Amino acid sequence: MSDNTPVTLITGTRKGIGRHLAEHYLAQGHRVIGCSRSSSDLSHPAYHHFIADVADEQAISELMRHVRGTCGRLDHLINNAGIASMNHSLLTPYKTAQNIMQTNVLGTFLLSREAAKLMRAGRQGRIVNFSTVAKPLKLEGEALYAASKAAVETLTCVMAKELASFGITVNAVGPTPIDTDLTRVIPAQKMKDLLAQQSLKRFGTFDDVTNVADFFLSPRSNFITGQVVYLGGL
Amino acid sequence: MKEQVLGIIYSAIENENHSLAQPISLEEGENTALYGVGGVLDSMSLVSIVIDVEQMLEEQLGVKLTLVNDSAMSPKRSPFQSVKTFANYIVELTAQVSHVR
Repeated sequence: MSDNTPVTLITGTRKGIGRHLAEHYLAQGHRVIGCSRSSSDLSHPAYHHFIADVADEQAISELMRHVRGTCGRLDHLINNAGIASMNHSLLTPYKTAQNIMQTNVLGTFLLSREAAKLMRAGRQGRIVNFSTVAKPLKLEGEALYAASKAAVETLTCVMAKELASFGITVNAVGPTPIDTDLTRVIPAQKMKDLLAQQSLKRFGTFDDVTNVADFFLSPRSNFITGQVVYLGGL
Repeated sequence: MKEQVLGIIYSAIENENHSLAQPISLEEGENTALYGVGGVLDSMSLVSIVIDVEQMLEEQLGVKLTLVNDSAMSPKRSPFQSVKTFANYIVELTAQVSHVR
């Protein structure tokens, strides 16, 4: 593997969008470090999987030590790991609220903080965070999830300013619902109403998300920072 | 221990000097003012030096420390006022970590 091989860290790679992103960047020739709370069956010579909770400071510290030791640098971080809980706010347990905030907000903060320390040395880096259309649409039943992603967006914009002088950009993508196991449990009428609020009234695809990530990671996007791009036209 | 810590702090300052229009002179040694009253560092340079010091402490001495907390950022009692206060602060923190272990 050459010294110029891009090094990309993606959280939540065991399944879904994270898995797709890992496979996509491996196919692009990146060296990919993935993590999730359980093991992964993704096998590739350029892939290394860590079992780590993104909200566990010690585990993330270990992960970053591995990246520093084996790769010597980090070019890209994609903060994909996140949890959702669709529930009326009056029926949301406090513990669930804590878990959502810890993973979505504090996990994104922790990974970004530690990644930026590594990226700083190379005076360049790309951080891509995950928001959701549930935030601008203010979807009922997703109060804590949408609130956590509002925090992620603010974190994105403020860190974009704080890290600009290090040559690090910070942006976010806000996917629409994607036809997965997670969304199939949502009542059809509710999903239809949701899609009706988008300009482009269809489910998103993994490729729609990858396309935005590609744009943010591109070396040519070094003047793009602090932006949140929603899919589907909101 | 303190000599090693001082060496790390000087290395971090020299690293940062590469990107400063007016590099920090280390002629005054431990009495070199860093941050706050009389200091020459802006907050971004302080961030860079603190991060460098944390990484070198871990790599060279095997000590994992988080150097910034709420009390450390108090202007009155900031440990980042000079090279000497910074080094003393690290030695003190290291002793606490060792004590816990």
